[in-house]
Amino acid sequence: MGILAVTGLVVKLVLLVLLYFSVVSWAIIFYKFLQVHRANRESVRFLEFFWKTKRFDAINEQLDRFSHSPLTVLFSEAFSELKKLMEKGIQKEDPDVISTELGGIDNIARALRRATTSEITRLEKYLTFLATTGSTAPFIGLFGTVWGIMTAFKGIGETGTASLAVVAPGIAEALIATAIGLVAAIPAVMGYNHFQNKIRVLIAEMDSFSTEYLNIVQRTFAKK
Amino acid sequence: MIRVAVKESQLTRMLVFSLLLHVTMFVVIGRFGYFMLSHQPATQAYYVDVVNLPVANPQSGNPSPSIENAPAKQAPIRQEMSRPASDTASTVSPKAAPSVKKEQMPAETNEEFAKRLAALEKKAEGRRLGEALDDLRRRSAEAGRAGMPGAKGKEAGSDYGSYIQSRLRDAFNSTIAYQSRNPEVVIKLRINRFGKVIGYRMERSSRDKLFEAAVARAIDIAEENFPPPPAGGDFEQGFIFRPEGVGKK
Repeated sequence: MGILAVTGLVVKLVLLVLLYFSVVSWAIIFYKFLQVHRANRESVRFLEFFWKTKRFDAINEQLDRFSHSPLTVLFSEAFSELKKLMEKGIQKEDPDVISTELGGIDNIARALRRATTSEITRLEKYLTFLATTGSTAPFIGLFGTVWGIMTAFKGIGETGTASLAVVAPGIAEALIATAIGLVAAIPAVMGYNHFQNKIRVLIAEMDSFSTEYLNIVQRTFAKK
Repeated sequence: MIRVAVKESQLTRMLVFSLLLHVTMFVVIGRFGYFMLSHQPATQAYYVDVVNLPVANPQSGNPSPSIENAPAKQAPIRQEMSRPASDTASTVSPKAAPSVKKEQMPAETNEEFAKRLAALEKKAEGRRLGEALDDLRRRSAEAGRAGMPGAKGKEAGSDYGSYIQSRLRDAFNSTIAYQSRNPEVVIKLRINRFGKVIGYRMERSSRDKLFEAAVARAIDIAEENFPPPPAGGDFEQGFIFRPEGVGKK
C-alpha cells in the first residue's frame, strides 16, 4: 500500500503545495540557467565586438546579434540619448559636439543608470520565488509532519493500542511531508545563491561598461 | 514587448519540462517502492501440522515409527539403571536389580537409593525425549522442508481450512496495521486445485484502508505456503480478520 494513498486530507494538501513549489522552482532554475548563461556568453562576445568596432552607429546596427546580453540594452539606451543630444547640437549648427555645460553627459549617465536598473530587475525576476521556496517549504513540510503525527496519536488513542504496527504508518506518512519540503527547498536555496552570484557579476560588468561608455563619449563628443 | 513575450513563453516551456521531470521522478521512485509502507522481511515459517503429528495411531495400536524406536532405545537406559548390580549378577533381570543392589550394598540407605534412582530416571527420560525429537526433525528434513513433517493439510484427518487459517494467521501477524477501533474484515477466499488463490471477495469491510491493506498483504504472503486442496478441486472458505487474529467463518 502506498504511503500517499493512506495520508489524510491535510497532509495531501501540504504535499500538493510542496509539489507546486518544487515544479515552479525547478522551472525557474532551468529558465534562469539559460538566461544567465546566454547573458554571460553574449556579453563577452558583445564586448569583443564593441572594442573592435570604432563607430557607435555600426555597433547599433549589429545589436540584434547579442540580444540576450544586458550590455546591448545599456548601449542602445545610451546611444539613443546620445543621438538626441547630437540632434540638438545640429539644430544649434554645432554638429558632433554635446554641451557638458547643459548636462549632456549627465543625461547619458542617467540613461545608462536607468537601463542598468531595468536589466537588474529583469535578471532578478522570479528569484524571489526561489528564496520564498527555500525559506518556507521546510516549514510547510514540518506542518504536514506535525499534523500527521497528531493524527497518528489520535489513532493510537482511539484504538487503545500503541504497537509499532499502529504508530509506524502514521509517522511514516507524516515524515514524507518534511522530506518533500526539504526536496523542494534545497535546490531552491542552491539555485538562488548561484544565480545571485552570477547576476552580481553581470551587474559589475554593466557598471564597468557604463563607465567606459561615458569615458568614450566624454573623450569623443564633449566640448573641449 | 516582443522580447518579453518570447521570455514568458520560454518560462512556460520550462514549467512544462519541470512538470514532466517531476512526474518521471515520481514514477521512477515509485517503481522502486520508496513510497511503500515497509514491512518486516518475511521469515520462513516453521510449520508443524498438529493434526498429522506422528503420534499413536489408534487403529493400529502402534505409535509412529519415530516413537516405535523409543522402547528399543530405552534398553540401554534400563541397563544403566541396573549397572550397579551387574558387577555380581549380569544375567539378573532389570526388575530384580534394585533388590540385588540393596542386598549387596547395605551402606546405602533406601532414601539415597530412591534419590539416585529418580535422578537416573530423569536423565534417561530427557535423553529419550531428545532422541525422539531428533528423529522427528530428521524425518521432517528428509521430507523436503525443514520443520514440516511431510504434512500438507490434506492427509486423512486434516482440516484444510484450519491449515489455511494457520498460514493466514502467521502471515497476518507480520503485516497487521490498523487505524480504526476494532476493525474486522470478512474475506471469502477461493483457492484452485493447485493451491493458488483464484481470488477473494470482501464480504464485510472495516472501512480502515490500512487494515484492509494488511489483510491483502497477508493473503499474498500466505499464498506461498498453500498446498493444493485435498479434494483435488477448488476450495472456498470465509475467514474473519481481526486485530486479535484470523478466524474461520
